[in-house]
Amino acid sequence: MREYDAIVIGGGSAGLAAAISLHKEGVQDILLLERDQELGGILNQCIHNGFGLKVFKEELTGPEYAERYVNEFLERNIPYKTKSMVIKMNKDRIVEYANEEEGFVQVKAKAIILTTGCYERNAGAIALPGQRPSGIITAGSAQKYLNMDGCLVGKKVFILGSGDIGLIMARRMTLEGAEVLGVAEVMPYSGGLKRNIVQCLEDYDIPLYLSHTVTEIIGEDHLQQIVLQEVKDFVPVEGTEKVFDVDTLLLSIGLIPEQSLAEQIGIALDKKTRGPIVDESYQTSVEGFFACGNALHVHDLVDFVSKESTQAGKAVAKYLRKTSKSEHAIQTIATKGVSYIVPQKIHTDYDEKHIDLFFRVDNVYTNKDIVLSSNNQVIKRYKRKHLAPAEMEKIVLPTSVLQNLQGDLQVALEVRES
Amino acid sequence: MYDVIIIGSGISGACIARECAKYQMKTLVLEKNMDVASETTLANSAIIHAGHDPKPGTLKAKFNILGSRMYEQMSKELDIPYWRSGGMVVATSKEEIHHIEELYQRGLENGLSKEEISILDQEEIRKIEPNISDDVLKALYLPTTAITYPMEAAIANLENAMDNGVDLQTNAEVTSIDKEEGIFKVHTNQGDFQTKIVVNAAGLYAEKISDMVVENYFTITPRRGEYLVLDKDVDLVNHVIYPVPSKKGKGILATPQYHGNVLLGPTSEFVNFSQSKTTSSKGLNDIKENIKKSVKNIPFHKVIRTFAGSRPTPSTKDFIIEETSVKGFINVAGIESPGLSAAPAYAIYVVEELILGKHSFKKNDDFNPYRKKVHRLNELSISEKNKLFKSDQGYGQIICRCEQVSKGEIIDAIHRSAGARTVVGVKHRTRAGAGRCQSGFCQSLVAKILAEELNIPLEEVKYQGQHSKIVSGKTKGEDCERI
Amino acid sequence: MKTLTCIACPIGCTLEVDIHDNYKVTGNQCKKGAEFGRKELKNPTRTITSTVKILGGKYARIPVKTSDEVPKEKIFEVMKALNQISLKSPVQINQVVLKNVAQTGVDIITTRSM
Repeated sequence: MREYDAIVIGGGSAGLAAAISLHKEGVQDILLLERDQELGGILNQCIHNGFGLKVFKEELTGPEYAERYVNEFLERNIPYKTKSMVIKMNKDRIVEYANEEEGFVQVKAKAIILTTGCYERNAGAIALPGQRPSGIITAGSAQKYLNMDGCLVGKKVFILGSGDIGLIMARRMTLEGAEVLGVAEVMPYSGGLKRNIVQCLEDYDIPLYLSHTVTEIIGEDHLQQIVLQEVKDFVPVEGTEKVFDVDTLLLSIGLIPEQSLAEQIGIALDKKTRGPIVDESYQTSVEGFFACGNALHVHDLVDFVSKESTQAGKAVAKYLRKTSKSEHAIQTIATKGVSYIVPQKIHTDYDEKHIDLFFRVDNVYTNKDIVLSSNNQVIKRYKRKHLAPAEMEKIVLPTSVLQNLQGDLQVALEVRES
Repeated sequence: MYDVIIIGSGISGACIARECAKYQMKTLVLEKNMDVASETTLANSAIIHAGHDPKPGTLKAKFNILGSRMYEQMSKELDIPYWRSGGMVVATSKEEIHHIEELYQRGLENGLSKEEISILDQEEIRKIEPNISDDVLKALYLPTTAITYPMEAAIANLENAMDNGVDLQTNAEVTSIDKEEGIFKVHTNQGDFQTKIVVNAAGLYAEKISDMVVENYFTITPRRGEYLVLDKDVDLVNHVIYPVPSKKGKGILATPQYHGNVLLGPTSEFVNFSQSKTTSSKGLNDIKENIKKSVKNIPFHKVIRTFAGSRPTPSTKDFIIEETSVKGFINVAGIESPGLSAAPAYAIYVVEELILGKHSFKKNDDFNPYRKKVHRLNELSISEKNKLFKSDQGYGQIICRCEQVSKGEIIDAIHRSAGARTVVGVKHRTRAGAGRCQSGFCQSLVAKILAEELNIPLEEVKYQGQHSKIVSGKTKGEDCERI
Repeated sequence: MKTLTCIACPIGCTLEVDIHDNYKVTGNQCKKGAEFGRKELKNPTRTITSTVKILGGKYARIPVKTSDEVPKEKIFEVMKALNQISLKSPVQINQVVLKNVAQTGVDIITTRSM
């Protein structure tokens, strides 16, 4: 069986950045496996702009951003296979993939990086009541049909969920000739960027219904109508039903890290992120398995995906060189106002100067402090003017701060009045 | 001119068609939907009941045990999923214990042996079912309870019937039936068909069909059941867990499925025909509340799908399997639970007693009881998969990531007899799209394969029903400009 | 005083623009915001990203964008022009596929090669 130094599963933004980073660090024996017909991942269908402001200091469309990483990847001649689906892996780091040329192949690696991206939450998962006709589709799937196949999934559209994908598709469908009747959001605030509310909804007079949700699907073969209802504390309010005649309901109700492979070998998953629990090297709870990008936790900006994955690549290169590791690790604990932190564990012999801590808050906040403390003693404070669940935050923590921690092995982030 | 026309391609029509194929009967199955077995057979608990439950002396009791004992053999011949999970009826009070003791006696009376029915105590229950609720005191244990995949069971019977000479016409809704000089003329929206014998196996619509020929003597009312489907990695129950039954039916169960999911449900509620497949937030909440009585530690956040179907509940409270006052017109109606379990048995009864009792047909010596093996790659070893791959490269292209279904399997499902014509049809034959992402990744790929194999444009590919297109049309056309 | 959200970058600052004081902008965190506030009220513009038909390529459509912002009121006129285009593969990234779309002085360029 062919053994590699590293196998990267997924050739989207995360996989490309991780592989390039590994290669830069001198690791040559890499194999990247991508299930689609080309590299680039989800960016290939994200034809709108807003990508690259942090990494390239320019505003690029998804395909432009992807092409830069794909070009660098190809220039480095890193071995890869497309149209190849990884279907199994085990704790001995044997990976089974399949494609039309080779059939089913097993390969082994010293390190495996899971950059499998994420999948969209769907109607079944939210138990949408009513019938089950055609015409109900996730926004990402509709985006693929539209931007790659040139097919409109419908002409009279309603969108459930005000996350960025839903907002982008509201504009996109309108430009291509559909009528978008509205966007419903169950929370009292939008899940997407403010700029998208303006340039995707307000520009086209598409109403946004906050604190509303779809409570019934009507239509036998094909969708005919949806019922929109106001909600209070997530409970539909009687008497507020509004019926819309539509042929399409786009769902933009959340993204979930794609980790069925991780589940095959019992990699520990974080209940909040639904991705693996990792340490500062992006290593999961199973030796030799790493994760980064949307497969680790869902990002809003691909720039952060690239940065995180570049770090992960460096860390994996180090892992391949190192022989021993400290067992002593501290946990990062998300408390008041914070939903989760990645990485969830930091080994105290971490020798880089800084460590990136990514986190999300659980509500919209203005003028707050992010407080790091341990053993009830405040270590550091960071000021933030505006925080929202839809906007992932990053703190660059000097590692020296972690060296002198006594007793309590917890680093907590709190959102407190400033 | 046909000898037998069977109206309905659910589990009843399918099993009867296969029995007809064993004789030299020219047989036609008429199905009003685009795909077969898409109504009650599609949406139920998939359980082959042991036979403890029906009232002794009824047709339900007679055919339940006979039928369920035939499944193992049938599953081997027709390559149908069959898993003897076992089941238990749990009692949470003294009154309920009394009830299961009555069921025990009833089971014996219906013909179950002492190895097939027994009572377990608290310790014994928890050894084999750790997630049973703390309130459960005793259980009626039924080791012969089994799980199948009902739509596949129906498809397999139909496919085998067709491979042995039976005809199938889908998209054919029966509009009226005349009888003239001993011949029935069955009018459909696909044309008229003539036959000597009509078997009405039309499920929810059996009353409607019967009334076309005979004076009304029963009613069929849709009794809807809603379900929650849990993801595959949920390790909740090992057996079918039944609560103590009530007048409303068997109650809300926790049922492990053949492919690893768990079904919670069904509810039981009389509804209009237009509501027969509709889920409701009340119904789904009822499931959550009631199932807690029997099972604990239920991961409700792992629900991946909900669905509903309706039993065709008869006013007679028992199966209606008989030749009517109109000679040659046979009703197979009111097939609610334990219909799935009983079907192989009453299918034989319909053909060998009701049909052959009055008409003579020679045996079909060329009848082949086996259908071509269905390749399910996710059940094979890597060398078995590569063997298949050598015969067809399409087996190496994985289309559905969640269920690991290859292009080769999908193409096979389209081209077999009673093959898939729709996206949901592919799902039910191959599992592509039945996983946790619910076809988010694979739907467009499956639709493209259907378009290619059926030689139709992508815009014509259907989701499930005749009017259920996947995409409305191409962009950059004349109708794509906003005014 | 007009309140609006800046869309120049993903932050989305809330701007206050005083139309009686030479369109002075407050609330912005950068220069782009000041420019945006003024322009949005005087002559709002947008970048359009879309796709055009392509034959012989990997997909049926190739993504494109306007090389610069165009007046907001011309969005659908630009879309109409895009719907007339049909390209033939191979096409390079950043290739001009239509000059001066809808008399805006702005070009349509591809955002990937295919």
